[in-house]
Amino acid sequence: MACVSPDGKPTDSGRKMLEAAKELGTPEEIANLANLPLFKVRSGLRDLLGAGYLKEEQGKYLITDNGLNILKERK
Amino acid sequence: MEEVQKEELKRLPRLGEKAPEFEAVTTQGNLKLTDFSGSWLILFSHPADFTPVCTTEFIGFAKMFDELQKRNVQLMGLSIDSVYSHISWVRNIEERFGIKIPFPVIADLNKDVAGKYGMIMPGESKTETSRCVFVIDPEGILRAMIYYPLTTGRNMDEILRLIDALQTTDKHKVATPANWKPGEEVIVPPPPTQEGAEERLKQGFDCKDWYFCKKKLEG
Repeated sequence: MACVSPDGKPTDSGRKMLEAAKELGTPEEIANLANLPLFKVRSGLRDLLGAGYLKEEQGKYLITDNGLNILKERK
Repeated sequence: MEEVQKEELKRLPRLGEKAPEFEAVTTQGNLKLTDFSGSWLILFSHPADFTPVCTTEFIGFAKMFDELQKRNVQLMGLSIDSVYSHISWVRNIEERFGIKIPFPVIADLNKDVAGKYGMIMPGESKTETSRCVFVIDPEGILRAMIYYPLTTGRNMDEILRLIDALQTTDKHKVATPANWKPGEEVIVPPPPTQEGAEERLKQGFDCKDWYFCKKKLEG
């Protein structure tokens, strides 16, 4: 997984996407905010969703409490 | 034997059709073809990591990356090597040649994607992918294919020229002549009716005859 490390923590690009998803956003909006290629964001959203750091609502993504907590931890 | 026959009967992709869907392990995570929807994609295969011709090609693709980005084109490589081999090789290219490989590379160990796209030419090698290039448009339609043998490195300028030609065709509904480059005259599609042929010569194009007319693109 490109956005979640084997230890379950988000990678640098995963953290960027979580920061960008503090407000409900489409993959395109998250890609713009995180300054990442859209294909990578689409793939990363699946990883972050599977790890419980994001939730999806009608094609838009929002950070979860788990996601907010992991962002507060040091890398 | 039956397995071999089934393999031979597998339908290969054709121009103008939806490119075969896949999900694959890459150097940038698990990627699906649909992750690239909305942008053009150049999917290319190479025979093997840590080989000299492939290394020159990867450097060529990396140098072309910024030009492709300007054209909304993404790149993705593929070979039948492990993701660890890919990672090691792209790091080696950066260390030895000073070139960072910015695009993902599929680790197609089970030959799933290579099989779907017909990248393996058994007459050349049963264990390596040949040098194939598939140009897929933002709607997921396969627009062009190029096949080179194991021995011959691809021409990056030609791949860029192909992208420019396809995008020009889509934007202006024209065709492009042999050796066309951006800025040069394009071909006006021949009229399909006799009436159209008579009108064509009065339309102010640069015509040799009713079926052979060129024009400059504006802007």
